[in-house]
Amino acid sequence: MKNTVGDFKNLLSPLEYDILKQLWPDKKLKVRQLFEKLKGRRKVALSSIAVLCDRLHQKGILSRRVETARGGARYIYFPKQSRENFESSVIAKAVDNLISEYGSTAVAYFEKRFKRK
Amino acid sequence: MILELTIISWIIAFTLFVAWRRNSDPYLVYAHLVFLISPVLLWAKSATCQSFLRRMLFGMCSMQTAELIMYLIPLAIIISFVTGYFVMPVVYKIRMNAKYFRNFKNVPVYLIDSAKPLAFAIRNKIFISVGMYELLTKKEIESVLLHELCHVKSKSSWQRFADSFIKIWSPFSYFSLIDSESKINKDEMRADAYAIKMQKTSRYINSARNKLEIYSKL
Repeated sequence: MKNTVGDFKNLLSPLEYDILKQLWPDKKLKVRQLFEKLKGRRKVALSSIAVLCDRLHQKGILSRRVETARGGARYIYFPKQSRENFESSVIAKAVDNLISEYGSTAVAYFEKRFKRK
Repeated sequence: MILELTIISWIIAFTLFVAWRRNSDPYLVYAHLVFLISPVLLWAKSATCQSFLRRMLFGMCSMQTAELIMYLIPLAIIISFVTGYFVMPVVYKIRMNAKYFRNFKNVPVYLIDSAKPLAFAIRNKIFISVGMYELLTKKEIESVLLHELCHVKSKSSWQRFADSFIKIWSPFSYFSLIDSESKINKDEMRADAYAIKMQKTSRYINSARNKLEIYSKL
């Protein structure tokens, strides 16, 4: 099985999640802008932000486009989905993974859990 | 007659190889290979050579095919030269998704759509990635471009291509220690020195190197 529960836990690192949280309200930011926003909250280097943004892009969570100006070039990163859509897709993935891993046991547990609520 | 011509041709080829080892002129590599391979064209017509090749292939080919195989040797060298020198840079440009970006001291700079910090020079073009621009400051980028400009001016890619070409095709290279790594290191040091000379400080090239080293460890 490709996506296990263990894989899902490693979907995002704390810093990756912080980057996403910054991008959701502002929508479009450069690596340097993200660095300026995050450096006050935690000890982080510009290169780490650049690497993590690239990884998020490779995972298909962020989109990016090249902006060229005054002889330089920068990536502008923006999320592919809104926060709500992203979170619901993560939950759907987690639930699907649990059902495919544990089958009827997982379904029975969900039934029991929702009945109790 | 064929034997005399072959010996003379190989003596010239050997002299050119020795001359290349002394001054690393890429043109000597190609002249060396021409004199080394040209006797093959003379042997192709000879019946002795054709029957020798047939014996080597356990008689699996006719005399005409043996002659054709002999012609294929210089043809393979020509094809590998054209592919390596003219076609591969174009293929590389397409694969790296590089687009014309700007001129830097009359040398075209191509922007690579990659977050990894990359910069290199092929023939008369400089390639630099978006990741490099993101990681470095303006002055550091200038030092990297000056470094690559030195490679363009000193025709480094032409020399490195000639080095790899002689290693593949010349039997002399198997008996001679060609230390490409120290050659490349010298070349890189010369390019760094050029950037330092132009910027009048080693500060930017050193900080760029440090940043790239940190990035490579991530």
